[in-house]
Amino acid sequence: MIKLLIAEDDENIRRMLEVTVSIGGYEFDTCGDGLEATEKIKHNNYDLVLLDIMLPGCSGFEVVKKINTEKTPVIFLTALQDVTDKVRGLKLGAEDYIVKPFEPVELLARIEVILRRRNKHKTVFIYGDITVDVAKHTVKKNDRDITLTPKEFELFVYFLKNIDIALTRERLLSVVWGYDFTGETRTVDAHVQQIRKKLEIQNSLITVPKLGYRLENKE
Amino acid sequence: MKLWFKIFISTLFLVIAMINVTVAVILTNNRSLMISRERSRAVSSHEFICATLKNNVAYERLRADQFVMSKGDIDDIVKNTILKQFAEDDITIIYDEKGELTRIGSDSVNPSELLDKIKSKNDIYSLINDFNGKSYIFAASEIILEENEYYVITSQDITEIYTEGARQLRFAQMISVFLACITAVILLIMIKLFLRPLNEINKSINEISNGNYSKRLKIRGSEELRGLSENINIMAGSIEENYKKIKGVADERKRFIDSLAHEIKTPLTSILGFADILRIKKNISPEEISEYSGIIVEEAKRLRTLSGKLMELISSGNGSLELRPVNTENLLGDLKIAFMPIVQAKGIELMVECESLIINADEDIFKSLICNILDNAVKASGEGGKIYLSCKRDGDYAVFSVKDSGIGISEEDRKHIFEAFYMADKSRSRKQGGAGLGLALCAEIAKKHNARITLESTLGKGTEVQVLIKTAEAGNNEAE
Repeated sequence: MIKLLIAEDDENIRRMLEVTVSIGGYEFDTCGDGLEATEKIKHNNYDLVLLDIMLPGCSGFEVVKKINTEKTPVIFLTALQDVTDKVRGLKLGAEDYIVKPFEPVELLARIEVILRRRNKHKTVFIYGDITVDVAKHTVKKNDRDITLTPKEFELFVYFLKNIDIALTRERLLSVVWGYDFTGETRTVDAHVQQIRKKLEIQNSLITVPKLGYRLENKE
Repeated sequence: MKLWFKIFISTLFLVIAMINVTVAVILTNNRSLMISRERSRAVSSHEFICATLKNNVAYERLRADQFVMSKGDIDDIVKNTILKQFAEDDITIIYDEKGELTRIGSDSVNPSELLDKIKSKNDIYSLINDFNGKSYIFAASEIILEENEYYVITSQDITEIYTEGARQLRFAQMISVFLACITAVILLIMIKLFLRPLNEINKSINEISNGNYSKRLKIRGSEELRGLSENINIMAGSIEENYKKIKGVADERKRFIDSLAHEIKTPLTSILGFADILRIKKNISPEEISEYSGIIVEEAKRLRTLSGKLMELISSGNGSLELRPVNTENLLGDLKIAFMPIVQAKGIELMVECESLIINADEDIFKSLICNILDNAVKASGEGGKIYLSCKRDGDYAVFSVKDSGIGISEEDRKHIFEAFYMADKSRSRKQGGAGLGLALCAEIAKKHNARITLESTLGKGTEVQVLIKTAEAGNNEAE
């Protein structure tokens, strides 16, 4: 099981992070102090740390200096928007940098990216009678091969990673088609239709009105 | 053109001109002296020739023992005398009444105009004239030899004087150019030496204008340059001072904006996060909904407090105050009424003691100053705490005091307590709905009223904040 450390001093933001991380299906520890965070990182084997910069005790920058970022990747959370701060954070060895305020789904996506970079993510997803192997790029339903186009495949994998989370068309567009893709959201609709038809999951890949789509949990 | 070059060129020409004028005056003077000397010499040699002619004629007449000599004999004597005795003279011409009798020297000399002049005069006549590029001085006179009239013209070549004069002038010109060059070089070195401090001043000014505002010039050189350096130093001083002042203001503003951004973004993060979670999460239990929406409301309220305080801060900073006499008793009375419900709810005892004094203040804004301090005291006190609010006269001042028995403020925190967004204990402050702007607001209001805020505190024992403002009486006396 993947375990994260949430180091954030504002109580409500900390709670929000807890809820977000548990939606993503990760375990977590929390603390609200820089020194405590350093100790916890040194003595536990976290897969990822969400680190606020303005922490009491010692700042996020100080914490990163004291720990081994090769072993434990760090995502900075901060209200500072200065580019120099961003550069400083990344130079110190942080994997990513998220500026407050942010959407929880975006945080999950960033966590995803880093875990994949560190080979800590799943490569095989099983969804009911459907098996998806990301490494081999194959989809099987009842041991029968299903052919998906590359975009459909990517889209479906993204749904699998975010089971039970409503995903907006904009988010899907930006994740699967790239941030600079300015195509219409109807592209997403067309691909979702195709996925539903090919995998016969019309009932579980449902439309959320005025929002987007959600892949429902099978159990 | 550079100054040193201007001085160099103008000096060079001026010196050359001066030397030339002087030399020309001296040479002209000298030459006229020499010419008059030559003239008198020419006259005396002319007289000598005339006398010799007369003597020879007389001598020959006596030797021949004749009473009268024929004109032909006299002509011969004259010719022989001239040819034998004065062959070395430059030019000698003798005329008789009929015309030219004898001549020595250049043929081209034909001073017939002289001949006309001496015929009408008895004296020796002299004249300077040029022939064939040479200058001559002529002397002419009429002599009577045995009752025959003769005209004698003698001349001296004085070309030498003129050529010598011209040669000297050329030499003097060469010397003058040479001297002028030497003078100019010496002058150049001197100018460079004198102007060197100016170069240094220039360099220093460049350095100052490039941002080294603490640079000062060395005071040295001539008096003008010293004065210049001193004035530049004064200028640099005021630039430095203003620069520091502006930088201070800019830094303060940047800190304020940074803090403001942080204070706005923190509640926004929770609001956006939970709102999005409510939107995207499936199967949310009613407990979760009430927790998340509760947090959203709480954080939104925080934003509301922040914006309210911010508006207060801005309006107190911008608007001009309407100062009116305010009775302190009424002021504290109003505050007591306003705070009673709050302190009673928290189980805090509020004691008010007040002298009746009149101060000049904008009542609403000044009330918000005391109100903020009182609010801090309430937040610092727990149940069973005591808050002591008073107003007393101390000399010209009315002293408001808010004393609590709360948690106190550490020495480190006291240094920053009037800075906007500074919170000694963030989580506690946020729980109580603080924005970290209260005392910054107080400082701003106090500044507008020319009042002073002092703060004394012991950690764990309590805090006393005093606001000192001149009474209306003292203020009016001062104005008069």
